Amino acid sequence: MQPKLFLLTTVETDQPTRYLAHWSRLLEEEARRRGFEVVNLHQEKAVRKNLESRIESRPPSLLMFNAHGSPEEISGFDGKPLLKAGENERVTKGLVAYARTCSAAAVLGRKCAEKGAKAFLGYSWFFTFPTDNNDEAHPLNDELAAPVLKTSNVIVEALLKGSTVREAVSRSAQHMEKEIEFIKSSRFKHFLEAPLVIGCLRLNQRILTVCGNNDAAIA
Amino acid sequence: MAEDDEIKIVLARLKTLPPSVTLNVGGPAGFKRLDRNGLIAEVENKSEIGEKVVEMYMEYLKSFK
Repeated sequence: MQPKLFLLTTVETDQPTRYLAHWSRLLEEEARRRGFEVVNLHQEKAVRKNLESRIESRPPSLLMFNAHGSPEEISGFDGKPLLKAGENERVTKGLVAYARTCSAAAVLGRKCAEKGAKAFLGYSWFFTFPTDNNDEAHPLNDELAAPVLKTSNVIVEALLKGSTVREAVSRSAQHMEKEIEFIKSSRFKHFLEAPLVIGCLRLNQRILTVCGNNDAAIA
Repeated sequence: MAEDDEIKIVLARLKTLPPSVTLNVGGPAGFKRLDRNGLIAEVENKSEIGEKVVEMYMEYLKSFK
């Protein structure tokens, strides 16, 4: 029996997408620990043709995008659409997808659900996170970005564990509250930046949107 | 729309941010990267992003009441 497949896309076209790519590596490790096969369409591999052929040859249990996005599309490495409303949203049919991109849940996510995606999780506005320039060489060590990107990682970790979409969102929200509690404590050393970190956590959670079936889980 | 008093409070707080801090705000043309001065400009211009930044700070400050 084939292992379940976790298919993700990552690009490193600028510093923020580089952060998303680094934080996604933790998810790749987690998926492998759980027995998943992992395929990362990274950099020049993150283009529409590759995405479509990969999904058609073997549908993944979980699909994740880390990229730039707009209400109607998610971009690939070449800046052209990787997934676009009205063009190829059908490739998500039967899948659970999470888009760590901007705005894609506003239109594209709904279209994916209409075309048969089990669920599409994404953001209905701009995904936002703070960074510290002093840590940009080591994104995983950036204490300003970590609370926000870890909170979004929790969504995928929960889905990999078999949680439903609803449960995954709930676990992410619970994790966010723990992060906020820590940031407000004296143990968090970035007192001046605290409002921005907490603000990004709350904003992203507020605009996190589920299109499709909240009770879906990966198969 | 944020009140003028709120904007003043938030601008005062933003001026205390370390220069190494960047807020990465996604968008269709890529992430907009805002340092301290960029954040101040967004708030002063009452842009959509500036409004969100005011909301973030005011929600934070009110959470201690």
